[in-house]
Amino acid sequence: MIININKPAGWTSFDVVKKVRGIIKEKKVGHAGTLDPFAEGVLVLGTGPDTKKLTDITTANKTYRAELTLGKATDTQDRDGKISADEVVPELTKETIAAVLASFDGPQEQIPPMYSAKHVNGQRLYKLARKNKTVERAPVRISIEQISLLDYTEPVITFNVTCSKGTYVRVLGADIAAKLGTVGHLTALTRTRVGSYHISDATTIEELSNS
Amino acid sequence: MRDCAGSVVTIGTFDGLHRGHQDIIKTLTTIAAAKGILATVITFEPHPRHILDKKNKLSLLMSLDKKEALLAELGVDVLLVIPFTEEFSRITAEAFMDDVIMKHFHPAEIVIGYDHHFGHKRQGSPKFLQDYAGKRGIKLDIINPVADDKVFISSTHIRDLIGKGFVRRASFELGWVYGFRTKVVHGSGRGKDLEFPTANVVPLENDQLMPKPGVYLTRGRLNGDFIVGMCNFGTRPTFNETELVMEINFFISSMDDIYNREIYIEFLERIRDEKKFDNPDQLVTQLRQDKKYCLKLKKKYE
Repeated sequence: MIININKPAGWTSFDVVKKVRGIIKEKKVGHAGTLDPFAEGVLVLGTGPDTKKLTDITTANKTYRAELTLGKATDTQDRDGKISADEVVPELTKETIAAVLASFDGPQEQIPPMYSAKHVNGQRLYKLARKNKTVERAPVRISIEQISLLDYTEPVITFNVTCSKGTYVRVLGADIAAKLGTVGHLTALTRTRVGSYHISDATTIEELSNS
Repeated sequence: MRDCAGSVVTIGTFDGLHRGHQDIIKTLTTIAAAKGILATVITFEPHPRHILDKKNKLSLLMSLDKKEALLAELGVDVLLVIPFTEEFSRITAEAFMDDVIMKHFHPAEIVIGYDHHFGHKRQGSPKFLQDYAGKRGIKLDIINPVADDKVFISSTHIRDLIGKGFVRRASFELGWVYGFRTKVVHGSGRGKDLEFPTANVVPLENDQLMPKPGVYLTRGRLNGDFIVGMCNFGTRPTFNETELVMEINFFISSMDDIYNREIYIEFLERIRDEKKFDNPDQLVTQLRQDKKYCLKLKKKYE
């Protein structure tokens, strides 16, 4: 069985797997594409023999709805987190923002923020990072299939994006802010689609427990 | 100890089982599945630093119970918990490998974190293992750190974040929401008169790492149910008290049923610092505002 779950924030993908295991009384439950604990939205689960299908689902394109707050960048994701940059938000029209978003359409390279220092002697790299030195990271090929503006209420941009596996929406958010002449960080992220699984068809944990 | 017929082994303290540790465990279970052998984790209890540096007792990210449960979820087959004593700390890396690892686990492959050192005087470095495993024809995988931008994920960094109140970032680096098991006890009862009745909670583990004092949006896990609440961790300066206590106003109609129960508390978001107010009325005004904000945030977590 394939189950399309709408994961609440504050749940790890494992929390969902564990819960579903208990509800449907099936030991073998897996998930496709981990969602960070604080992200919400579509998490596709497979049970029993269907766990094999999850690999294909993991590689499918995904759609997100993101909320990008301009003017501030934080490196802690907390409300009172350390603000790493604080800049004025320029006057922006929805047209300007829509045009900048559209410029991100198509295949491109992105430098992934999460990485395992694979190539060089780990120890040395680690010491470099301690000294706050930047570590060279190889860019990754990604592709943005569709990106569009949903709303702009200064200083918050809400947009939709459909992208290939391996795309970091928070990096995209920072890049969009930079192109608009300021800084910014994602304040909300919801995955609305994974392959052919849409959030509108997703079951909440509560619904599943009551069914 | 039963001998295991071939295994892939990793050794580590793994406090927090954060995303870097999870990389090690995922490598371990992937190899185990491919070769049809047992994914084996060897860890120590108490934390070696509690024995080697008794003066500065390190506060920990997780209990052994939590570590065991997470390792099981990650698909580990065998967990060996070695009681860490002063005597044990004097065993050389070579003797540990010979008498424990080789004798009982016959590893076909060893996976190790890039910075893990074991054995007397930390001689058991990845470099030592490279040499040791090489001589015996055992494959060795050294797993490099996981980094996010400039931050290399480590237990030390996460402890530092929690100590500074950055609980969301800490949870992000952990890959699970920072929290711990507590017991609900009766408090001063003062909150009731202030329209904010609270349950006082105390952590079950002595060495539990606590967050920076302040107000947090928390979630309690009680028999599979979630109860969200607003937590004040502090000294209650408005009432001129000095003892550090953790009080939670759960957003439920009655808290009568939760006293003396065990409850797992997770720290979802930090709301503000603890402040000294001139009088209880001002405190109540602030608490009402905090609660309104918490109820708004709560929706995301349901």
